Amino acid sequence: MGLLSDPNRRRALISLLTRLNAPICVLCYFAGVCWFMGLAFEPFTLRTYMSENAMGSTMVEERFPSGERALATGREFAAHKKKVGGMPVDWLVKTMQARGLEVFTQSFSRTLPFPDENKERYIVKGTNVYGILRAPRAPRTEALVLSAPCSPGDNNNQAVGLLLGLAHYFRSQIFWAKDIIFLVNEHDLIGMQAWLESYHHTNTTGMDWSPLQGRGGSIQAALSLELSSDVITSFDIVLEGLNGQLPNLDLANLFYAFCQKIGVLCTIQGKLQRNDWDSVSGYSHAVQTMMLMVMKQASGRPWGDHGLFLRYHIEAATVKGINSFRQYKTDVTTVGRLLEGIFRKLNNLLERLHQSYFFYLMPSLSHFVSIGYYMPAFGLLAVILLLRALDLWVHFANPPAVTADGVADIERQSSSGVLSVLTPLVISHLTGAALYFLPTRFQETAVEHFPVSETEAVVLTAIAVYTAGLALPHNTH
Amino acid sequence: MAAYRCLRCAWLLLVFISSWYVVVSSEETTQGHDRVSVADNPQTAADTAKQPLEERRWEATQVDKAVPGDAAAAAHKQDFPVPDSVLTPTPQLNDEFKEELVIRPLHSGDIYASFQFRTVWETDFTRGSKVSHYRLFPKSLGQVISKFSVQELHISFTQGYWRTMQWGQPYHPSPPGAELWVWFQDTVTDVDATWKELTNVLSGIFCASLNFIDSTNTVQPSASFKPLGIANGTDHRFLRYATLPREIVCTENLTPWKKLLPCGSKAGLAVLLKSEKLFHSSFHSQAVHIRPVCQDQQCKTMSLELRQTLNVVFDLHTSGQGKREWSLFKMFSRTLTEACPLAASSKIYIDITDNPQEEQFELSPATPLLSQAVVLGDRRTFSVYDLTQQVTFGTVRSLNVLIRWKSTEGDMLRPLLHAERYVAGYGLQTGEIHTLMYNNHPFRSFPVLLLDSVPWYLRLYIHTLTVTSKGKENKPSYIHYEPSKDRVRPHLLEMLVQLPPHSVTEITVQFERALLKWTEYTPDPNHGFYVGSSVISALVPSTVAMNTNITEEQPLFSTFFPCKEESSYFVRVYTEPLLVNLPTPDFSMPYNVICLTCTVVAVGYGSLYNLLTRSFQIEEPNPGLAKRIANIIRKMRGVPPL
Repeated sequence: MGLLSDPNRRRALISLLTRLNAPICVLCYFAGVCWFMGLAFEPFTLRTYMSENAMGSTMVEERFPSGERALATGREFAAHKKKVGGMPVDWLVKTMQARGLEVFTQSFSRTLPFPDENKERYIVKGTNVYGILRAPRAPRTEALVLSAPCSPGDNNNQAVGLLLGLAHYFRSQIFWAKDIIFLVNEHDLIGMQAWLESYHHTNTTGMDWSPLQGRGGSIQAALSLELSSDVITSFDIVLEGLNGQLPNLDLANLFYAFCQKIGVLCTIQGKLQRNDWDSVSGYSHAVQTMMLMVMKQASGRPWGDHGLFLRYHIEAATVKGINSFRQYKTDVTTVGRLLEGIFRKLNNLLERLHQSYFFYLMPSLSHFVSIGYYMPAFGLLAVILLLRALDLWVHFANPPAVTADGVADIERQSSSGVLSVLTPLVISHLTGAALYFLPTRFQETAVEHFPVSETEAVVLTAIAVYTAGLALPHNTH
Repeated sequence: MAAYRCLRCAWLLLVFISSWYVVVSSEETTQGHDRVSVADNPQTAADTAKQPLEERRWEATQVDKAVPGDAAAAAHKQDFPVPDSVLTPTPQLNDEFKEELVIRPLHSGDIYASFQFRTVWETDFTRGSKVSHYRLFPKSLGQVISKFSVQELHISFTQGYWRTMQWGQPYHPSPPGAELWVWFQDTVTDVDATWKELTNVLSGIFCASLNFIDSTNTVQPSASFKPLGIANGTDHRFLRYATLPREIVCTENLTPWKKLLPCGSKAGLAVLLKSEKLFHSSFHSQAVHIRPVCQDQQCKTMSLELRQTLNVVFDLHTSGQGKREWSLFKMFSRTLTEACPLAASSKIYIDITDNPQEEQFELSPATPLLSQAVVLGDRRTFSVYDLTQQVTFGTVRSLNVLIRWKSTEGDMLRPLLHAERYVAGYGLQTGEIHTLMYNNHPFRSFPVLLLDSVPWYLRLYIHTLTVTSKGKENKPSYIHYEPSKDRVRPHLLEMLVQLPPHSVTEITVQFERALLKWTEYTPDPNHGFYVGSSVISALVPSTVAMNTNITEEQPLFSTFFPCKEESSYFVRVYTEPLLVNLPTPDFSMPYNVICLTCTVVAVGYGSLYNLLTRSFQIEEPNPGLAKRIANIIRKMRGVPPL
């Protein structure tokens, strides 16, 4: 700190920073970007490892036998879905009851701000069906969730079939220590949000839902399953949730470990792992994977049904079965064994997943970049702002030229300076408020008086606010 | 020969009647034991004309109930000679042991087995008399009772949660984990110290973590737990109640429990209690209840009753391989070959109420003995196997009761009263406890008494307490609330709420999660912290009274006015315990904090110290050579330097 208490050296440092401000900023910027890009280079990153003791050393054996039966159930589900033209609630209730679960349903409805793209409707109504496998000799304090969305068309029938097959198989096992909730949700995210809000009795979205009749205590972890074909070539794990939240890294590790054990190809961001990290194409592959993750997190929207769990401090991921035209095929029995293994390990958990990282980036499934490694890059980019501000501050404190009547001039300048800062501040706040409130406020008026739809009205009002901003008095000086 | 048969018949009748007494006395906790019961053997005495006679006989036995042990012992003389005069100096040895097993096939396909072992001993610990001779009563418990002046002691260990919606009401409700409640005699001066010592001693006897009961989880309920035996006063200063919802129950708790039985697990029904099967089940609960009971109707002498119960539910899918077929062997991997020789009565009851014409399930070997009882407000019919008779075991000398279901329907039940509880909200700062109580009675409302004991680290905001039923506020007629004290005592909330018919009553209260000191966290803080079950005690309208057109097998004169004693019955319902996450620091934090603070202190303090202690002076620039020479000359001249 001698550097700052010594006025000479301080002056020298400040003059250095002000003189070389632009080059230093450019340097920091490039250093930051290079650091960030370097994170995707495999020798610079850490291998993933299982941090949670309860999931690491304990061995489980996967024995799920009835993949074919699960597929048959899936076809039956598809037939009933087609017949009912939506969620076959009665059939699901009956089937889950036959498998020895406690079955409950939940109906919900949500008024949309804009009409739905395909069906031009404002109100979405649906029903979630869930069955609870009560763990023997457990006091209903902890639960795991396996969910499958009931998607329109021919999607996800196999997922529901596998879910029911797993429910049947899990029911006959004695080793469960946590209740397992098998959830089939309608209308993807809306249904999931309704179920979660009802489970935790909160209402953050203004949705109407009927209260749940059965619960299983605090949910420890959740998996959402998406599967649309009888055989798959690879499995994709989706981690990015609402507002860019991520589940604990151990969940991804667990998935990767079981894919390795059972021999299923696994991908993240739809990208396979490559071994040629030293080649240019291998490196660019890793960069792409990592940047995709960054982009998806930046978008803030949940990239799967799991994304809504994260708000409730429930570790969750979506597992997608993908059938591309590769040679290597995996049947549903193997997929069932994979899920069984994951659930048995989660069942062994003594505490919530907390040992591993919550903030990370993944250039591939086997490597990760923790927050300690990517924050310096961000810091290098952020320090530019600080340097520019320092530069401005120094210039402001020592005006380059002082006129003869210096004292009065400076006073006048400083008083006008506060005002000149205050005016844009107020104006920008007002603009923000206008952008937040006006589009939805004027939506109805606009639709009534102009030949526009609701969606267009919102966009047009936003544009109008910006255009109005152009007309504000401003100083070119 | 005819005389012999007559004797035998009379003896059988006597046994039925005394078995009646057991069933009914299991209910006498809630009602008087003077209820109408019917014991009839359909093959010999099915006609209703004989009923008054039998009822008269029943009352007669009840009057001279003072010596049931002797009567039974006399009846058993051929099996087990009781050398009364040899063992004790007193002319009568007033203790008696009975064992029974009730099996109830459940709608869901599961099966519920409830063991009950009852030892009654005519003795009095209260007057400080030294008792040193024990026969059937376990000495370890007897010494505890006399040392700590315990009037009543109820302790239960439960693994699992009773699924009321699927299984109906249990015979002996208990919360998950361990529960202990004790009434001390009014001679005890320092109840808290005695309670502390008692829990430690019981902890040793039952191999359980009862020593973790301290002031932070002990409460004194004002209304929910009244003495079940005879008691002079009910001043709740002498009551202590505590639960340990986290307690895991396993074989190490079962073994000491079995050792309290007179026959151990060597003979009688206790042979079936094999831990590898008992813990391969959906629900397991074992309990010990000690209370003073009246010896006779005049209640001149008091005796001590020890009731050991064990309840277990076997699962259709995991234990039964999905087949609706249950036998003693399948459940316990043992069959029965004999009764406990020390037992005055040893019986197996199978609940066949839903199966009068054997259309639901078939029972083998068939038994001619039937009995009826009003259990939990419902008139139930039981098939009875009397193990003290050799006939029961048949030619193979072993009894393996087999129940084979014919139909396979399993609907959810709608019990008249059930409850659930959960934590609402998200985040680690606040939350809300919701307790839902369902009254499924179509037209009657009834009051329930709710007891909630919440640990201090959930700070209840009692002003947010709301009770709503059917969308309207439901004002509790009685509220007893004791606020918590940090690290000293928990919250206690007791309320008397009227549940309207066919409704859900929701009780919500908000709480704030406290930040604990870092040594107060458990070794697994991220697992969460448990909040014990709430206890709902209620007098529920009986289904017998609800059913106004019962005509089957009932004499017409007995069914016109609903009987007052049967109009409601007592149930206790426990909700599930809660697992609540508290804000938990990262426990590598202390290290990080130490590193960080040391750095900050070193840098900050160092520079500040530097600034404060350094003396600043203006350093003059080095004068040039000419100036220095000029100064030397001026000094020599005695003129001040430049």
